[in-house]
Amino acid sequence: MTRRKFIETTFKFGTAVIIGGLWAAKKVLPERFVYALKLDKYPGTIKPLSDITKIGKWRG
Amino acid sequence: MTVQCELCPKACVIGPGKSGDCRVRINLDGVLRTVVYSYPCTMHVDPIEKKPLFHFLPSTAAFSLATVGCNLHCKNCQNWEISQSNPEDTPAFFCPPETVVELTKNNQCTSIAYTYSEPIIYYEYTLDTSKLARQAGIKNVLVSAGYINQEPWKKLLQYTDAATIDIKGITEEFYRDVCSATLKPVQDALVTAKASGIHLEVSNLVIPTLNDKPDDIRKLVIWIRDNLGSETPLHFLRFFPMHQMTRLAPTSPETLNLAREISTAEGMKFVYIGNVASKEGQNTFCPKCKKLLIERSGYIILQNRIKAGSCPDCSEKIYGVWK
Repeated sequence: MTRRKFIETTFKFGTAVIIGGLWAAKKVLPERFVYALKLDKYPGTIKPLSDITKIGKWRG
Repeated sequence: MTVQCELCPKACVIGPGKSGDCRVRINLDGVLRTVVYSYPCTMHVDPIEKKPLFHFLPSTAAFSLATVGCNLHCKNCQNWEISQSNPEDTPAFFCPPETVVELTKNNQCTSIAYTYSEPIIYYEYTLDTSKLARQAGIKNVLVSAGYINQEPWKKLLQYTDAATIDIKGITEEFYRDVCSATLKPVQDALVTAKASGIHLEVSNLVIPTLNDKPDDIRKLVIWIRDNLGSETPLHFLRFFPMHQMTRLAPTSPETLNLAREISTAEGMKFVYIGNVASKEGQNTFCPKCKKLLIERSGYIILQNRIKAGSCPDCSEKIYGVWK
């Protein structure tokens, strides 16, 4: 193997390792969010507006 | 793909289709989503004094709302039926921010209180409603445990007029063992809130045997005095056996009075006792001339002698937003 060939091979291998590592890290590391997008559908049931003019029974 | 929620210091790593510790922020297809935006489970018209806020627009009504969920899991939670429940199990109203503002106006409320559970976990709903409310000339009030990261907190404070932050105790052990949280972020949130210029009051639920030692109370009071200022109104609230703490007795009035005495001795100017009948402990006195300024009975103001934000007898300026 010539010196040029050796450098080329090493460079390609190194690049492949870095790209592969980044791809794996993206798969493994969680994506970070501070703010959430809204979901239009509530998972529970929807109730009609009522009793909102009274003082709440909850603390606070 | 997993996501990480960085709204609060818990920094939950959430798997696909799962929710964070607060129960209401979920990972849907690799994106963080809130399932309670526009879906409060409870709404009421409360006196502002109930929050408690004693130095912010007294005798006015606050349109108060909450969704399910909380990022803390206090064993003593007084509102655990909503704070510790799942959205799937709890019916909710459909009430987008525009409707909240409309209902606030229709019910002659001066402010909207994001309260009962934890406004931080329904952050986006709180923020968007606060923006609309401000445009409509309505005040925004947070009743929170203050367990939030600094970046979103500062953003929310821009649209907040007043807050009551509940500091649960003054030791990391208490926060860890009773609330599944940590103390330091709450202290940071309190300092940031005060520095932002909003009106701030602090509450503390006094729980027998857990955070009622005179030394702990003194430590708490000194921290508040040195970091938030002696003018910050402080509310000691009576604990009632609830949720996972049904074997403890309610806080004795003597303990609450002692907490008030310690606070006054340490230089706090406005100290109140809540959830219990107390003539002295619910009234406001001038810190300079000691004369009665506001006489309260429960949530009712019997008399308010404050004139232009000051004591009518000695002209001492009284911390608060009075009109």
